[in-house]
Amino acid sequence: MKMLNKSIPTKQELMKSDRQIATVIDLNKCMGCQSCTVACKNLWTERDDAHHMRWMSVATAPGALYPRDFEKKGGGYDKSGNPQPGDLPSLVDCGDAFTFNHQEVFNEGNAQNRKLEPTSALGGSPEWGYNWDEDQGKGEWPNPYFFYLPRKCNHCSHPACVDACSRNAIYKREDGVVLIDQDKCEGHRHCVAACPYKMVFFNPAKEKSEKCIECFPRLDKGIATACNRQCPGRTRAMGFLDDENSLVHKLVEKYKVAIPLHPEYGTSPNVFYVPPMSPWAFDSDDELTDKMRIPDSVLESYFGKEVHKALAILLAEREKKKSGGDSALMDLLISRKWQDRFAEFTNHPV
Amino acid sequence: MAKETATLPRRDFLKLSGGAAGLSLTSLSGCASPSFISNLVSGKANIDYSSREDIYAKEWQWDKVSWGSHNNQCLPAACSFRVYTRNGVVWREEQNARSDASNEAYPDYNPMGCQKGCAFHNLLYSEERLRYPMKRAGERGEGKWQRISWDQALSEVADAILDAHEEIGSAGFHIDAPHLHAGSVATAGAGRFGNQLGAISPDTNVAIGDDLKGVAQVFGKMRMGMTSDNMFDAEVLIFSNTNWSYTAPPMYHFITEARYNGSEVVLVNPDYNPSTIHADIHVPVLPASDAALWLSVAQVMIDEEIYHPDFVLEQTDLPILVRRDNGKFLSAQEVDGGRPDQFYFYDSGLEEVAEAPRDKLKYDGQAELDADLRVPLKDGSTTQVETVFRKLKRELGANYTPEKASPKCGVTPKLIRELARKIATKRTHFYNGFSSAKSYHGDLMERAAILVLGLSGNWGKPGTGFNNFLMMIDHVGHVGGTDKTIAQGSQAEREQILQQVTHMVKSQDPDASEEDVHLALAVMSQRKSGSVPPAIWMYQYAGYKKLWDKKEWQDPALSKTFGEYLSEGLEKGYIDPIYKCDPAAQPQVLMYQCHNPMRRQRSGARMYLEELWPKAKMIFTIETRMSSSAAFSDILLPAAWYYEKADTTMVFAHYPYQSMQQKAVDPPGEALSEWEIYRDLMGKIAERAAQRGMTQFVDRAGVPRLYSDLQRRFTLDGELNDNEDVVREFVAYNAATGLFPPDYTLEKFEEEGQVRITSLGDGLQRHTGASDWHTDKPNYALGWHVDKKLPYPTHTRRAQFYMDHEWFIEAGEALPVHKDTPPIGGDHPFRLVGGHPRISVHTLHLANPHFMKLHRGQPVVFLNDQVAREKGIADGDQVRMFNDYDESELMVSLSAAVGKDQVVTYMWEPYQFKDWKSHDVMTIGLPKPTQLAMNYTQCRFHSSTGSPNPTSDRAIRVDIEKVKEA
Repeated sequence: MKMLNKSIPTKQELMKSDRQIATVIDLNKCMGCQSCTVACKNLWTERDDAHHMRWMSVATAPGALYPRDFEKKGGGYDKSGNPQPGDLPSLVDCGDAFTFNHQEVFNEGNAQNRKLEPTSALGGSPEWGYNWDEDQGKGEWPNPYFFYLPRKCNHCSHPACVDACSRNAIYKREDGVVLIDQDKCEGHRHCVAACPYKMVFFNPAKEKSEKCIECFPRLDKGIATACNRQCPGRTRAMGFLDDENSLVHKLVEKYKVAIPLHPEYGTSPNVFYVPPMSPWAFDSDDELTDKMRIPDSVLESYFGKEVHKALAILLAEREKKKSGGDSALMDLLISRKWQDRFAEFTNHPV
Repeated sequence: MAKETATLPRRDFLKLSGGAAGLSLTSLSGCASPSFISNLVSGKANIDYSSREDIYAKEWQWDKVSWGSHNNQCLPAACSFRVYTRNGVVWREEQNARSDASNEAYPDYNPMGCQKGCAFHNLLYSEERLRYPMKRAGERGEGKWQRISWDQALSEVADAILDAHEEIGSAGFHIDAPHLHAGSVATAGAGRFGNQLGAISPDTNVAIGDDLKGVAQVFGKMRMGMTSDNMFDAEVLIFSNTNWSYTAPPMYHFITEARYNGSEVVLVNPDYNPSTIHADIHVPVLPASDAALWLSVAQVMIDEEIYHPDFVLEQTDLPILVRRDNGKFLSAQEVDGGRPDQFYFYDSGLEEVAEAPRDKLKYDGQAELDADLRVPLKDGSTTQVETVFRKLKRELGANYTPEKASPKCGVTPKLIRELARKIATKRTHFYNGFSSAKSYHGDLMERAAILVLGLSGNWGKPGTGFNNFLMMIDHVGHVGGTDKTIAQGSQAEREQILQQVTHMVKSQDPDASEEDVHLALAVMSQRKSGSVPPAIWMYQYAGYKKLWDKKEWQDPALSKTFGEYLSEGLEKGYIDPIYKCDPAAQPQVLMYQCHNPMRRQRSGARMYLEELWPKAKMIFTIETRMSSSAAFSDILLPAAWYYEKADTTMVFAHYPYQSMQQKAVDPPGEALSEWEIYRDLMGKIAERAAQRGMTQFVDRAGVPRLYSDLQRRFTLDGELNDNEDVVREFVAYNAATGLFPPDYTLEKFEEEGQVRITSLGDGLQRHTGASDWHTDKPNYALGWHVDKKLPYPTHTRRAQFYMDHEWFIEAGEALPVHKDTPPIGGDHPFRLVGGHPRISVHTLHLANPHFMKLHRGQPVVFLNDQVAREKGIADGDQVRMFNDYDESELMVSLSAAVGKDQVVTYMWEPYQFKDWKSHDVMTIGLPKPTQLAMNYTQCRFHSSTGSPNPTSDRAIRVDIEKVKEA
């Protein structure tokens, strides 16, 4: 861990890192299975004060995403670098923390008069919850569309959370991982409001904010994060952005097919997405067209204008493969050897 | 930018966050209720093993690591995991991720393991877990329980079984279709237990509707497996009746990576299911109308002459001659008094009919595909015959041109033609899931799709095939049935039996193949096993007669009800009388292990509750968790779950490994492994029998058996005393039969955690797969038929599209045709579509809080958003789904991904519904009676296949209305 030898470090110092760890998530492979979600949850937040937190989440896009409507809750910076106001997500926005009535259903002599059902942590039936709009999507039959959007802390190069913390409790490690010092945090939640991705969560029992720690105890042993290593869809790549041999570098810097979510938030996020090549759309006569069914404007609303270039590259390279040719980019995205995705983080936990 | 904002923003955020600095626990703006907070603060809900107060770094610690996997049979069902324990409980699990690629040209299998596996341990410590033997203290299903000792529990079960023996005989004890979920050892244990006691048991694979009848009808075998990397060799990948993003997450990457590799991905589903998002083409076929689509694709191939005539002539029955007068194959019996199963080609070189070879596919003459002629018969008469191809071409031309088929299947003529041209010219890999087998006319859907592959030469070669699964579970069968261990010489005994059967089969048919011999053995073994056809069992015992004999619900082309077909089948000898399920001998004791019929059997929540269970004097259940059905037991026996007992996985070829499962922790409370339960129960039956003065009973074969011998026979004189013994025997068996390398040992298995299988064993599966097995390249089925020209084990010895059984001819299904799903349950506006859920294998994970918090935590039905608006239904509304028979209440989730004529729902646990009525209650499961033609070569009943599936529910008609608030 970084030793902070000054009593009051500057924000600049707190934000500085020697290198930057990054993750690429391939949306052409993500099936929305939530393996990353459960891998993370069981490792870090399967505890009574954190059931509402999902440091790793997958939502169906377009939709409310997670936390609910985070895109409408502000934070981040405007084009001139001015911080923007942000709202705090509620417990329900964070996906709630349902409890269930197993005993009542099984053991209390109620026969079939009770059913197993969720109760909101606020009491009563849930109004909303994690993954509430799973598989709903948008569009009109026969051209419905959706894709899965996995999200975690972006470990931004310019993290608004670090900027906002009144206790200087948030800092970047040498490897670029953003951490909240749990001893220093006093739960003011400025970071929660400031993070435009709403990837900082409040722990009301501890009165502290918590967030993805990029599995630093694993990284320190050369093991990929749980969400990355445990993804059965092989959607993930991780490594240092400046490592020219890493898959993240190749996809982000060399081929430019992995791009950040909401770059306009101004925090320079370090999770990058390979945008989805959706199935061909049908025209008004129900005939197939050669246009992908997710509208360009929808993708642009998530990934900015860069998405069009990225998709054009993907389609052109795939076309080479379809016609029997070679494509180094497609081979990288395939990664026949799974471990090739993780640069130096290829150790097994045991 | 960084410089400018380095100092300012902090104050700005303070200002902009509305004075958040003063916030404390009690002033969370709507964040938490007092109860939530008091719960959190007091830590009341904390359980002692998971105190998580430590700083993050301290979390990354464990005491012990074991090998683990999950036997929930999700296909792959063999993912190798590392199980981490801390303080005697499982803390977490993570994929082993050390599975090699076949070779460097293909993606490897890592990391193998999905959300169900990565969070399995959450099930071990949850409230639905059973921990102690329990006896009901109220009415069945009332939810009142009394904890009892193992001794009392086993004594009461033993006495009930002995009572049944006294009153009815061994046939009074029924083991109701146990699923393989409990694991290899437990499944072998249930089989062995039932075998030793002469119990009756409906065949599980057929009971769950996983028997692909159309595949069996065409190929004479139902399991067409491949390794997942075979998809990487395909130019076109078709997925139908399946949703891999839900059901096969660890293999899903082979699809997306094949797509990157240039394969075109085509998804054929009625809804835009979540796997479709990674397709190139979605073919939005109307529910269960796939046969119309594929027959039209076949029509285009024939019409445009883009089919592969050499392949068709060699592999299929299309050049075989059929009589025009009665629709039967022209047989040698009629022509020259030869065999009734010797059929003919028309040879244009000879200008006369010629015998189609029976011992191989290759024919040296010039068989014609398109021919008709008059043939003289032995009795002096003549008869008009034509090739199956000619008949097919005529029927397709008359009914299935793209223009005619389009309204039936909902796919445009242009897209039908495009599909035909693609498949005819490209290596095409077809993966067909289990939804076809849950469709009333699923056999027709499968036959039509396979016809397309036959016409285009797309099987028995890399990157091709009509694939589903292979199942290497011979180790389970061995321990379930053997009288000797490997060390005691079981292989020599088996070899002797095989020689006898070979002699018997060859004496009846000198052209019989090795596969025919193994099939004959399977048919004989099934007769001895106590296994019965589930549809007949349910009809005779579970009251389904009330549902399945309704003429108004069945295919209008059939003149008889299910019951009438059953009677006729028994009279005419189509059905072996051993399978009649005598109504005079009703089940008196019912045993359940990993079977939840209130969900699994269509309308089981009514039929089992109202008809079957009231007949039983004792229902006992061996379970890890409280299922809806377990709640209706008299006695609950708590079982150890994965990670709590030694076991191994089974192998489904998609992932060619068998994985080791170690006992990482003790089971909770007093739970025992199933094997231990059976062993102890055998001892208790012997003890109680002695006390009651009972010495012996007569088994199904009429052979007397001593009660005092039961436990000794169950454990093979103590050789198979516990799970560890059985796992050792599995390894010995697998090494002896070639599934594992010959020198493989348990010790090596424990060191490596998984074994890449080296063959398909030495039994029937080897012939079913019918390809040389490779560990260094992808595997696919049917290679021996294509390369070595081995005959298929069908009536015609060829891949058979024409079924000349009297009942098929009567039903108009001699050739594959499209028929609409009959109005089972009445005529209503929406078609029911669904299958396995995302976050659970069957109901195993469904009622677990960890998994329920990954979605709305309650049952939902997906409804088209536009249709809902018209009906005044909003997202989140409760709706009543109903048909003429019953109803169910669910929450609506509005989705654009659902067609306007459909409702989509997946599996749920019935106790998640009002009155414990899941949508399954209205599904009826009407079996297709023509599948009672169990005398026809490829329709014979043997393990996992044959006899009707009692599970049709896809595309039945239902309606929906908003529930009015009280």
